[in-house]
Amino acid sequence: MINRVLLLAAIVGIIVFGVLPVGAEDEVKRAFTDHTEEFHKVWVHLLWDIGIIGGIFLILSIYFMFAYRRKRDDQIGNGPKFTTMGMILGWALIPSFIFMADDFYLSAQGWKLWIDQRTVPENAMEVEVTGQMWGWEFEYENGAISDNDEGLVVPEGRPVVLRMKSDDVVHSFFIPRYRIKEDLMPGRVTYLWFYPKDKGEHVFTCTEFCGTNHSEMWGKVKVVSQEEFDEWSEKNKG
Amino acid sequence: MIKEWLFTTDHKRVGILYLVGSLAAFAVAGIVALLIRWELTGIGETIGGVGPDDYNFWLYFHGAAMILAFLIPGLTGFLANYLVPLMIGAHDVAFPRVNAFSVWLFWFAIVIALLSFVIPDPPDIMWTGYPPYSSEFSPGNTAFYVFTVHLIGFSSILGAVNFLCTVIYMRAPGMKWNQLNFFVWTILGAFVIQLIFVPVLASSVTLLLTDKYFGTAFFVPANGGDVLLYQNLFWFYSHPAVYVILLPAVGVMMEIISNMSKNPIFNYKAAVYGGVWGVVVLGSDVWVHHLYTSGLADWIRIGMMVTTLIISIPIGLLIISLVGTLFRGSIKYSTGMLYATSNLFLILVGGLTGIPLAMTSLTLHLAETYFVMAHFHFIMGIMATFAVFAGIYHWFPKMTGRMYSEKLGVIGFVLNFVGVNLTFWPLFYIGFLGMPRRYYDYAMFPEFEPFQVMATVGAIVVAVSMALNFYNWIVSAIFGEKAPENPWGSNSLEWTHCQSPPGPGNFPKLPKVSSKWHPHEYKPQVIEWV
Amino acid sequence: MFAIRMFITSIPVAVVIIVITCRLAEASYKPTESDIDPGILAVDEEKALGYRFNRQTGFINDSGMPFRLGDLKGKSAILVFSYYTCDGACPAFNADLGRLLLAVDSLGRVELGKDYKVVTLSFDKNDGVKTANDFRKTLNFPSKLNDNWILGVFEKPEQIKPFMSDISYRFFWSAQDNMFLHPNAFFFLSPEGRIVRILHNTTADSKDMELALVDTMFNRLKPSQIITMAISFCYSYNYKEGKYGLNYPLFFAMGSLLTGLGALGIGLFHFIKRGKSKEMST
Ligand code: HEM
Ligand SMILES: [Cu+2]
Ligand SMILES: [Cu+2]
Repeated sequence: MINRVLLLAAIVGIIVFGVLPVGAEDEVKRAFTDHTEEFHKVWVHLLWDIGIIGGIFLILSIYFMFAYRRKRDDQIGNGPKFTTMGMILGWALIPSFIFMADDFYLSAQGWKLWIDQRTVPENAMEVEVTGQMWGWEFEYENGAISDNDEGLVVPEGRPVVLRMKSDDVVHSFFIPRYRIKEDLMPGRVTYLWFYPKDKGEHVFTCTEFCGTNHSEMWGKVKVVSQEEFDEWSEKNKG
Repeated sequence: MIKEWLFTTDHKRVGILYLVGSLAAFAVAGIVALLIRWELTGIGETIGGVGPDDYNFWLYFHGAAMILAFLIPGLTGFLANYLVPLMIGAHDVAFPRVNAFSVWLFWFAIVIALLSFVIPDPPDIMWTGYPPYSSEFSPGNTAFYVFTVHLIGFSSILGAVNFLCTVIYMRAPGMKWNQLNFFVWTILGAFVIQLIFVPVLASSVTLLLTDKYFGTAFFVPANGGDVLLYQNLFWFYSHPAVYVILLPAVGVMMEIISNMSKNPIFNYKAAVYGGVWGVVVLGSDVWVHHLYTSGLADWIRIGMMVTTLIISIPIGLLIISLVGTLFRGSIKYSTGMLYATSNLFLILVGGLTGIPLAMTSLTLHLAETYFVMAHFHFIMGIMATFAVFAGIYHWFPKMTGRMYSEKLGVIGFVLNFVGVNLTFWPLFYIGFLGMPRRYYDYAMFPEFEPFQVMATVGAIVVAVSMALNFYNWIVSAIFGEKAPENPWGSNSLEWTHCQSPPGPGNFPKLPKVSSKWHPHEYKPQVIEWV
Repeated sequence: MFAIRMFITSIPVAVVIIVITCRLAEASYKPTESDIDPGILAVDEEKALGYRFNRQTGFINDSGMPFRLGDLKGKSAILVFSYYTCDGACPAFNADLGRLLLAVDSLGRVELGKDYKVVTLSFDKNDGVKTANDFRKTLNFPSKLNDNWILGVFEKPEQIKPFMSDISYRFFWSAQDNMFLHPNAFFFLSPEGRIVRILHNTTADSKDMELALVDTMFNRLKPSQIITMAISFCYSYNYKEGKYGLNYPLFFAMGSLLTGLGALGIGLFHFIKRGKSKEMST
């Protein structure tokens, strides 16, 4: 019975660490087409990175778990003895350096992407976002106003920067499609920017717990053509 | 009999009281988790008459109870109390009455937490309790949250002082630091963290309380308070708190893996001084990874990304020791060992999915989604829980003098392992696609419904296995066969030098250990009695 | 034993301290009456925070050179609105600002010129290079201020109103008093040109000015400024009073942390001492 359990664990493990990165890669490729491409790259790098580390450890453990089962009742283990300082330090420092190298590699990748994510392009269209329990209000440069039913309407092909604050509690504005979110709170102003390259509709929603109707605080980002946008914003003025 | 248990100062009984309390909390919070999962199977209202407010209260209770009343007391209350004095060869802890007092505090905390089921305005502020919601806007009773935290916090500070003194002053004659059981080291690390950081949490929730009920404005921005400060203070404690959970969990795994493969711990010194103490030292300056999208300055977030990633070094050393201990071992599988070895998989999944969450730029997308939820359930909700279960099974013969049913145990384990994987893998997936956590409803993502259903099916499987486990423990404790003195062939003092269950005072005579002895060496050795 | 006794005695002490400080904190939070007229003379702070003035609008400075706010790229700035033919309030207001900034400079942590600049813009369409020049003469600043202080007028008068309307900065000509009525506010701009803080000369002192300047630079830490940043953590801004106050919760938390560390430290000290005396006796 125990053998079967182990076998099952082995199969699950191999599927998870072997297939997941590959499958997920397709999934993310489909989802990213614009400035979030860099995010995609980092994400896939990372999946390989953790997939390989996890795979090595997992395969080793599963192999050990099978190979070193007890054969005789009075048998004891024959593991390595760490008697010399060299051995202790070697087995501590060498892996540490490998992990540290990987940490710095990932930090560098993440940092680069972070700078892109936080540097707002000069020509971005500015929308003022106010969060309240439980809805959003959007105010455009020309005075047009919108809310979560109407949606966050933006023209295609121009970066948008959201200047965000809250009237009451902490909320968080999240657009899964553009891989961004940031909290809104009273007394501070926060930013977010994204690049709606192509027309389409995407969900935005609140991701910081804010009370009863937290899960109702959602709507759609509507990316439309410039003409449609101009017409819309004229209509919604004031 | 009841009085004897209530007023006991014996560390073993105190430990059992902790066990009963924390398992009770686990059971209630687990049933609540089932309700939550059931509610999520469909879009909109799924359980008739259950609105978002009920859901939010359940979620508050589930989170707060699982962490504050199950994992922390289960690992640093039950296991530490039961095992540490036995492992170091002491008659009891240093301050037995203080110990009894801390278990009372813990029980009061559980009563207060449970009372929130009957009061008209149960707290709904989640276990994190962020202001201004918790301090100004919540219709719920924030005080219940604050008092629960106070009681449990005070209880663990007392526990910390007690156990640090016990290990420092009451080791068996001749026992050197490098001869300590690995579990004892992890408990030391966990209690050092508790001693330093719990006061910070206690003072910040106190300020929350005065804000809500006495009209102060510590966290109200209009009057000069700082909204973000509470979040910082909360995580300044609560991140180290996850190591309070992780370290003893790894300690239990290490004990069992070493014992059941009859192998010394792989690079014991590196795991203790690099792993355990590395985590304690580095763990205090990474808290901002919970605040990557909270509007803090960009450079703070980047700085803490680097420190957070660096934590992988001590954790890596611990994992190397865990896996390495299997190498050339003589492995025998018991239910406890199955839980411990499957934990290798869980700690890898939970730990490695923490790496994208450490990177600010990826967390900009992943924060506050089901991805985070699945991550912390793997490392904490499952890995640490499995460690508690492994501990219960492994030391069951010690605590009761009887054997549990291995067959039921293994069936329970299989269901449990399959169930948790079924529950949480789909949540990684929809989390990556954007499903936010703490959502009563997900009308914006109708396509996630099948995954939610799958998770609920998994949760039901888990519930069945839990029922089996509880049944196994209760029935075996009363009717189980008599257990042999040292069923696992351990070399640790609690197995070699005292009966099962140990009598008052633990050891007939205080054991004395020679410099050749080590709890994780499996050669026949001469052990002297005083 | 000693450690735990110390620890337990410290608890009531801590409780007393906390209660007293809570009282004090509560008392200090009583909103004070402000004496500035809240109507016209205030800017809508709620709307203005985070706002970015048009970076492309053209100005001409008092030596006749064109410039835009976008040219300040990478430096914080303090922006004020005045008009140059004013003979009372405006020069006084600018002079106030100059005095405060000299005081900030003397604290030595944030430096005018190196870390930030000052820009005065006139909202009067009749102002030109000449009146700006005269205004500079009236101010008669020391060179430190003079060199880093830009006086500007709008290139195109029709841009004056739109430039400020978004933050509802209102001003109008009062024929009766023969002068403009307008809010006297210091706008603190981040290196990206966004409004981070708004202070008033009636309430702000040099400490507030310095903290507000640090707020503008906060996202661009230079390692040399680490102490300045640490100081700014100790204060938080009070919107009601328009001033910075001590960040009490932080001190509570620090106190608590010290309690924990102290308990551990005392314990360790005791342990090491005991170890030594044991060695000596054997
Ligand atoms: C297999 C049993 C469990 C199931 C089915 C389960 C299910 C869930 C669900 C559905 C949520 C919240 C979903 C949402 O965000 O709306 C949740 C949250 C949570 N769970 Fe569990 N859980 C289980 C075990 C545990 C355990 C053992 C722990 C112990 C650490 C735990 C700790 C938490 C925490 C801390 C939260 C977050 C609460 C919050 O958002 O404030 N869970 N769980
Ligand atoms: Cu919300
Ligand atoms: Cu953390």
